[in-house]
Amino acid sequence: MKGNTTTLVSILKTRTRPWVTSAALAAMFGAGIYTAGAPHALAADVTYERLLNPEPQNWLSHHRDFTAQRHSPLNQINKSNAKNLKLHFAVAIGGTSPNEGLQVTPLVEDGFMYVIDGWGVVYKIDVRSGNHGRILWKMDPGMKRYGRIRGVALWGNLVISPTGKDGRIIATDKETGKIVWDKNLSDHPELELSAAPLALKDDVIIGGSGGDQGTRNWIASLDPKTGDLKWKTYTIPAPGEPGSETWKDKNEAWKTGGGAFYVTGSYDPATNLTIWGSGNPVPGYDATRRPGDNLYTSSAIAFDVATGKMKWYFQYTPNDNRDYDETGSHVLIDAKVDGQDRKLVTHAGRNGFNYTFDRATGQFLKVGQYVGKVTWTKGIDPKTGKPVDYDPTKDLQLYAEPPTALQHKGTRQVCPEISGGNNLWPATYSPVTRLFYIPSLEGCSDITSDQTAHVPGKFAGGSYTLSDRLTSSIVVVDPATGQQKARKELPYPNTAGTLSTAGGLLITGLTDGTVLALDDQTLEEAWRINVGTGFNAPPMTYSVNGKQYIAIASGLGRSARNKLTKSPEMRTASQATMIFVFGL
Amino acid sequence: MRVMRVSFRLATAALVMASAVVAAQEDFSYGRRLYLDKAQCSYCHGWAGDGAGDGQSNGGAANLRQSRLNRAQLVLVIQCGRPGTAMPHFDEGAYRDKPCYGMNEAEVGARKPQLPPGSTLQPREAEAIADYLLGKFIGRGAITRAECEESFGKDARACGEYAAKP
Repeated sequence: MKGNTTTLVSILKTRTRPWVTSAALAAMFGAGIYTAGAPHALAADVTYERLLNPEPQNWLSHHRDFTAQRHSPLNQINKSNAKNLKLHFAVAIGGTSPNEGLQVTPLVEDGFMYVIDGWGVVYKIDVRSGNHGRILWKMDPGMKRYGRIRGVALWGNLVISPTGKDGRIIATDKETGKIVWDKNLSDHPELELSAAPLALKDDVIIGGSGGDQGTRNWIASLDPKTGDLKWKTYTIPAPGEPGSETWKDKNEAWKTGGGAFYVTGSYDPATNLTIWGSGNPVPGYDATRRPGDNLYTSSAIAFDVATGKMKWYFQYTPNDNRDYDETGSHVLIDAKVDGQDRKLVTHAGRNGFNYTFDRATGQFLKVGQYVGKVTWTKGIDPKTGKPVDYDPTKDLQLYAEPPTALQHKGTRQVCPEISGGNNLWPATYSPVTRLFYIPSLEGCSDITSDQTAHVPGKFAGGSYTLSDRLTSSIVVVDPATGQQKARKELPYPNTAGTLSTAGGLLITGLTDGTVLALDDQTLEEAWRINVGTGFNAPPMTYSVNGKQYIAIASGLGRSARNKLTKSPEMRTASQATMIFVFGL
Repeated sequence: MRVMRVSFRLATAALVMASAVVAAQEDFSYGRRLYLDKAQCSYCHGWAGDGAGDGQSNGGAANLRQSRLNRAQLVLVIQCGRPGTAMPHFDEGAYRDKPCYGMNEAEVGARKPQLPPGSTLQPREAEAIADYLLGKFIGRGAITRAECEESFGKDARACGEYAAKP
């Protein structure tokens, strides 16, 4: 009930629309309308304070809060009763065209869920009853091409949503479903807006992606009230700017060099820095097109929210040519490192290693290997964080790969698989166990480079096939030391991600349609269900009317289905785009 | 009268052209739907068949606009895939139930193409896709603005980059 109290207070404090006066609110509450009538018309504005400290029952932003820990303080569903979990209801989403998939993390505010599908359609769903979900409105932006969209942001009375390759950001009134503003940010036909926006106090941060198609990507801030652009910073420096010396080609590769931001960053209020991981350099499989370290691709980057200027960066894999972008979540934690209290940021790299930094300065602190098999490097230097085979005097980095890695039509096997490791399926940190749980894709790819593939439409610099069947594991890491504490092997790829709760549970989903709850200390299975359609979206949890639920969106997109092509028993599997909601 | 006759001729010509266009679209709509949706050929080969697929696709898909394959060869490649590449075999029983390129499962070995991530196709579907490819892509050269606008609409941002005429 604390949640309701908070909501009422924040309504009274923040509501500014003239037609709802405090007196009117008081009258409505008195008449019991708030709890029984049409209360979605009375939902509180989502203030910065609420985004910073979301009420326990709510999940108000993409990673739940600014830390990107994806940890919920709810504990009603816990280790001892998880065996009683069951499906409470499901809601069909999308379904307007074949081969749809969902990547969205649902948001929930006081019993109302907000999701988005691959056509950019935003849904507001009433989930208060606990036994069904009713769609209250849909906002359909009329996108031209189906895409992958990972979520929406709540800010004030707005739902702010991306539109994939339409390149627009749209703000919708969360009560009425009507569009308030609609801004076109497109500066390239292949620009893609797939990351959930990050709403802050006076900014909504947007990550641009689509880099693999030869775009020069950027991060931008919009004024959430109007959608007006406040600043826009490119990942790749223009000639003459700091870092441009790391693009040593004569092909103007910087103009088409990628560096996408497709997973929402974290935000540190103490320093006003937002920390995002950047995508790989493009063409992805052909480093010869772009000799040099290719800053600031495959990096952790801290941007000053006030100006958009880069405060610090750390490049994970200089001159990458195996698609190891590092746009996966960068998670803020406070922990003791070598006996000292530190403010940290930790990251599960697509390249197979987990890293920990000081989040104010970017100082590299710890590293470990979480993926089972790594072949591209002999390891990471624990002093510098750079691959031990990185040679800063060389323009092309071979690392531990065979010479074919830099040859036209050369083929080599690389582990982890080109998707990682970890990727858009987020890890979670539990402040209770002080451990970092990484959903790790396990397997290898065979990459063949094509040094002619750097023209519009064909910018990959080569091609790949899966070497063999892909599996996954949950890897438990101590981010303060970088050391691995435990791992659990799972039979199917994980492209969903993880959720940890104060109930001592770790929740995840697999591409075969299994939802799993594990004990966050022993990794023993507490519960499982198979719903018959795979997961490419992270689980989340919320509570309404005193009952906790776990929700997850289903339906594998094409890239995720590709990961099952060496799993012949899955060849007949179909996909359905649903929101599944489980509870006790 | 003269004006009317000209108008009538023009109208007749327009009608004939319009019905030809409709007929052409009808002829290929089945194959087009399979290409874009059920088989999702476009994920790797691109909406216009030029091999420019999705950034997350395997890459390296053939540029069908430069292809010289005939109908039988196209059907064969759709059904059997291409050994040693990411082109899948859309006939579920390929190699296993009947040989492809003279090879059975044992003979093709590790180079056996994968199954498609989505649906397999029945023979008439493979043929309909082949007809669509022949009608729209094979040997067509550069993508035109008209093709782009046909797919994405006249106001599509991306279409400006294609030449108005090939």
